[in-house]
Amino acid sequence: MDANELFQRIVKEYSERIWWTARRFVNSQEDADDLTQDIFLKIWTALPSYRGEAQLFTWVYRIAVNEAMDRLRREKVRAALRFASLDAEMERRIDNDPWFDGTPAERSLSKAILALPEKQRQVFILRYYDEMPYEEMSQILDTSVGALKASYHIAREKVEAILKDEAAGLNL
Amino acid sequence: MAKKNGIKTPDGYFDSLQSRLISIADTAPSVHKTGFVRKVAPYFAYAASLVAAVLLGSFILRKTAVPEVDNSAWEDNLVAEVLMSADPYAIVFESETVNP
Repeated sequence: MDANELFQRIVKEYSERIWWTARRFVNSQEDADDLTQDIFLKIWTALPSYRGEAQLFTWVYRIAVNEAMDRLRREKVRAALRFASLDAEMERRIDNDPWFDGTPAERSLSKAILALPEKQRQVFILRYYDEMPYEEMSQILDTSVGALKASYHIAREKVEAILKDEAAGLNL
Repeated sequence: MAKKNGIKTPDGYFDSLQSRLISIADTAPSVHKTGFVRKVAPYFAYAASLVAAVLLGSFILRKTAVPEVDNSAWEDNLVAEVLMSADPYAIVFESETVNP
């Protein structure tokens, strides 16, 4: 299988899943498109270095998550230079998202995830939305299964606490 | 409209996304080198890094070397003093000596 065929296979098998993951990280349709485009450009560029030792899915997803994190870090720096907060910007994106068609609870959940530190956010998104097994996640994030389970547990508790506080605030 | 976790996407959205992504391979083909270039590239990289290391090393040596001080005049004075006091070759004229 040559590089073109392998790339086409990756696009067909993983593009939709990667787009949804990107969508969760950047909270905007347009930015998810841009990020997915960047991820696949990176995959295409890195394809000659793929030796087949890692599973294709793991290799592709590692690039996707790293690219998403790099983008968020760049956006954070850009926001800081404008004396703004990326989390506030993300909240605005969630509130004004024309493609959002869910319940208020789903919107609140998206916002609560923003309060998580970077690693917990990754783990939460990959586990909760992508339903990724810990073993796969361990290979993608280079972290032990035990540490990932602990991260997810802490992240889940934080999110629940935020949602409970919000619900209590609404009842007042 | 497809919908997932409260987010909707237009019908056929992912088909169009796939077409756009596959076109990356056509618009950015230069990253995939030919077999010959791929074989030779590591040797070029090795040679370039060797040259860079030599240049850097010589630059550092030149910057850190202590400049040589010209001591020739001082050494001449030393020799002159020795001559004046010791006169090992007996070059002082007899007329200049004090007769007892």
